[in-house]
Amino acid sequence: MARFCIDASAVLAWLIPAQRTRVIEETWTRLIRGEDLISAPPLLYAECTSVLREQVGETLTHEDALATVEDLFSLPVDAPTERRLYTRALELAERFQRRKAYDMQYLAVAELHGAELLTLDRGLFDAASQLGVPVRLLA
Amino acid sequence: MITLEGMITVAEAARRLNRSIEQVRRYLREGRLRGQRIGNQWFVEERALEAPRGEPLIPPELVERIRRRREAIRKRIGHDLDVVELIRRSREGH
Repeated sequence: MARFCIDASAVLAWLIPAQRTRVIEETWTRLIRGEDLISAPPLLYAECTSVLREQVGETLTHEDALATVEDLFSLPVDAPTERRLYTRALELAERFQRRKAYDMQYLAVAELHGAELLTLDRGLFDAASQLGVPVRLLA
Repeated sequence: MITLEGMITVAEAARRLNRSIEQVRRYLREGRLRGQRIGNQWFVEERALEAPRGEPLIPPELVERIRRRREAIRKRIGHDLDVVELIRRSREGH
């Protein structure tokens, strides 16, 4: 049984129309069928909700956004809330000189849970690689 | 007399089984997990806690619903979205 940490890009790429690469398809096929554990910081829900809301009136209807959030919450994601997640995200933001600590929360969960990070974000991929955290770029 | 000894909440069972809360409630309704309903709330028997065998992590009906909606949106807007860019813009706006 493997443990993966998924970021908002990896989730949104499956929930809404996005550039779909073979690696995204293969990864989600594995997550759907397998016995793997999926984790993410609670930020995942906030980020996906915000992006969906910002697309309402542009590419999505309000109903699309609502239904997508409902389905997001049906995914079996373990979203830890422990204090260490946030203090580690701050340490990582300092190390990688990030002005904000959003993406560092995903990296902190992957590191603290010994999970492989799945992302489409090249910047997050590079940071994880430098830190020695297993990471897969789905782009 | 109602006793909750040896029982855990649906949320805790979902976390331990790595399933969604929705899935655990369904297992209880179908009798695939043992539990007790008290008022409106289900509790799961901790001793019998085991995910039903062969059950996919994400239910097929959910996968199909997501696929159908995604394809309908793609057909309507005629292009794919750059999710990394959308997240970047959303973060900058905060």
